[in-house]
Amino acid sequence: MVWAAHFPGVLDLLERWEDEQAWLVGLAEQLSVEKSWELYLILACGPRPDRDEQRQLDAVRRDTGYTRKVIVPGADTLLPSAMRGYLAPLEQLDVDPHLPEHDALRDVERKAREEGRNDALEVIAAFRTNRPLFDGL
Amino acid sequence: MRLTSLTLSNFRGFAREQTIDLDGDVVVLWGPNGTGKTTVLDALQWLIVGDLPRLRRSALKRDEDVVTSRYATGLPHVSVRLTDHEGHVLELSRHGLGKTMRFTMTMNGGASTLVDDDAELALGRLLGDNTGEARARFGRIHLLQQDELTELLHADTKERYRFLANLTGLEDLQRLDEQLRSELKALRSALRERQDDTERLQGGVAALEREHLDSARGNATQTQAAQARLRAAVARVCADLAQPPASSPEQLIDQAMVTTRSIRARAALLESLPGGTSEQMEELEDEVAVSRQAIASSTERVAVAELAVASRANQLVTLEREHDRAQRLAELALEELAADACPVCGQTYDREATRLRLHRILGGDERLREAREALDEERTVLSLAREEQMSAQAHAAQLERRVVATKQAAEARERARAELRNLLPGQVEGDPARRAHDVASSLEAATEILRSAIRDRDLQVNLQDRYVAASRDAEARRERLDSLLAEVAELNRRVRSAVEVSRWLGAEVVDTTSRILDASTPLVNALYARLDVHPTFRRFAFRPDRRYEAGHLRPWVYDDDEEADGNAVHVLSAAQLNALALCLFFALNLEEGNEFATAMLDDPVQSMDDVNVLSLVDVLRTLRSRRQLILTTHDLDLARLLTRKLRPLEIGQRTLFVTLAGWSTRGPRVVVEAREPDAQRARLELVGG
Repeated sequence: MVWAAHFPGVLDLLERWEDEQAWLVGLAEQLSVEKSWELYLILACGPRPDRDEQRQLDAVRRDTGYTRKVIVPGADTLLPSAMRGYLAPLEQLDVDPHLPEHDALRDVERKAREEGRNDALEVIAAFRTNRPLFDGL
Repeated sequence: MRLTSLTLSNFRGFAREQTIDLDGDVVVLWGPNGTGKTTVLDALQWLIVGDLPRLRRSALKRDEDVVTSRYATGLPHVSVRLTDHEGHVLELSRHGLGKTMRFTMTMNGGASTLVDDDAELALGRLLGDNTGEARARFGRIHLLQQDELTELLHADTKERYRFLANLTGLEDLQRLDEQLRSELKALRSALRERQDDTERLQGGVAALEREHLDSARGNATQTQAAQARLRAAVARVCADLAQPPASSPEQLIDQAMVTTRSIRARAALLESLPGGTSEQMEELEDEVAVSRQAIASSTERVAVAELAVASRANQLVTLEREHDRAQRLAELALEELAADACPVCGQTYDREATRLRLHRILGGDERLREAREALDEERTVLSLAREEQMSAQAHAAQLERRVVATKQAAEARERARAELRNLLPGQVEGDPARRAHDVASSLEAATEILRSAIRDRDLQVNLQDRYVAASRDAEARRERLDSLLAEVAELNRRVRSAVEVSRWLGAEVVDTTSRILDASTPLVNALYARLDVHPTFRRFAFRPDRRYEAGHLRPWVYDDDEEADGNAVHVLSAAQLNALALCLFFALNLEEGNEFATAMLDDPVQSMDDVNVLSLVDVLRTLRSRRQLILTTHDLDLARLLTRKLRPLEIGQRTLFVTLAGWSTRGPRVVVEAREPDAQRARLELVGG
């Protein structure tokens, strides 16, 4: 279960995040008799925190009681890609199990051919046939 | 394809045979330290790889047995059953050690069985290729051993590059890169060696040429001087010999030596001859005359003495006759003396007195005695005269011999003189022996000078020969130097070409490595973000570069908001580095395309704090649909947390809690508790607040 809350300022977040957590936990208890849900609390705040605020936000993040907290500081100015980074724990892992097969040596050979590097081609040919690399230079 | 059961016996801490149910998508192995959690993972690695690299590194001997239980009753044995999503069953079994090791692969309950090499080949194909690299990679991509990847992150950048290149299928590129470096080093070394040879040879040739010039200059002068000395010495010897030059100085020396010996011999002869001069002869003749006179005189004295002796002898004979007659008379008288009167005249007489007188007559006659004494004297005189005569004769005989010897000496001297005259015409006047010695000494001195001149000449000839040999040597060295210089030039050219092509290839290797690692980076970053490793450095990438002709790889983290970045090893804590290592492991594991869909983690949380542990649980929950997860921990709370958080939620999911406890010499007690999903439980919809 995921609950996201946005706060206008860092102090707002620091003062009110536990209320949001209590609400989420209460909701989970209403939905299930046993604790069988993972609870995620997204806590976003608009401005970027200063160093002291960052430390306090990190302490919230490290609090593992009841819910897992995901802190998104400076949410108002974050690019979508950065936002996705913060929300990554909630996303399905995008794993392509069939990454294209690569033949790194052939890639280098192709590049040498494109650039007309006959010396490199000669060295690669020697390497493939287990000959001394620089004899043909 | 996932593991469904593991059977092991005589393997490390498991002496008795035990079968462990692994048929779950999540398997949590819990047990106190030393109960065999890691051994279960070791058994799986030994089964696939055939060895335990983590223990092999600490073995004293290459073939040291690190596998067999110390309480074993037989050979180590490990077998597993695997099933794929279509229900096909595969059994792998490894038994024994070293040459007796057997590896078996059985498919579909014995429908097909492969043994040893065939089974190993088939396993290689399952792992992605038939090389040993795939086996080695298996141990790292499917099994995360304690601290292994964290240590890698701390490792040397070059070593890290090599390790990750191997894990990401860049072995060829890695080998090419290392071979380029190694052969370039060898080429440079060969060039340096040739350059050193060339420099040494250049120095040698220059010195030789300098020496050569000096020798040539000195030789010419010395040779002329030696020739002049030789000519002068030859002339002197020839003058001494009073002969024209012989065919060679050596022959001249031989001739001079013969002549000198001959002169010395004759001079010695002259010196050794006993007299033989005319004065000596005259003196000798005078002595002979005196001797003859002495003989005559002594002969005369002998004759006189003989006469005297004869006379005395006659007198003595006469006297003896008279004495004999008187004696007979006296004897007769004595015979007649019995009467008191003379029978003749009848005169009476004093018988006693008469007897006394008669006895006196019988006893000796004074004249006889005197005659005898006189005879003895005359005989003595005769004897002396004869001795004198004999002495004179002996002296005369000696003189005769001396005369003969002197004559012979005179003849020999004359012959020697004649010979010396022949040898030294006009030079033997005066004292020939002394003169001969002088001439011989002079000749010897001249010969010695000639010998010395010959030695000088030979020395010069020898020097000349050496000079010629040195010239040839210098020429050969010059040719060798030219050849070496050409070789060095060629090597220089090849080194330049090799450096140039190595640079290009090295840069391409780094680019290609970057590109291929970059392909994995999004997945690493996705995992890195899920694990929520660091609050501000939220992006990770490898930074490959090339320094000192070697590839290096640095783990780099970025804070994109603050535009800050740094080396992960320096920026992250130990626990955060451990979390990053887990991300790398999962990324590599997930991208591996072989048939084994298993990720095994040996005590993965280590020193992680709670939030990272929960993040890890999140990641594991995401991964369980793709990988069979086998985790070990000694922490019971963590094991329970994992079991609870990774409980099965969907049909087909199964979570196993495997307890290893009560270890004895026969092995641990294994209890497996399985959790199945609650099929009746309603799926709830998210309700907004």
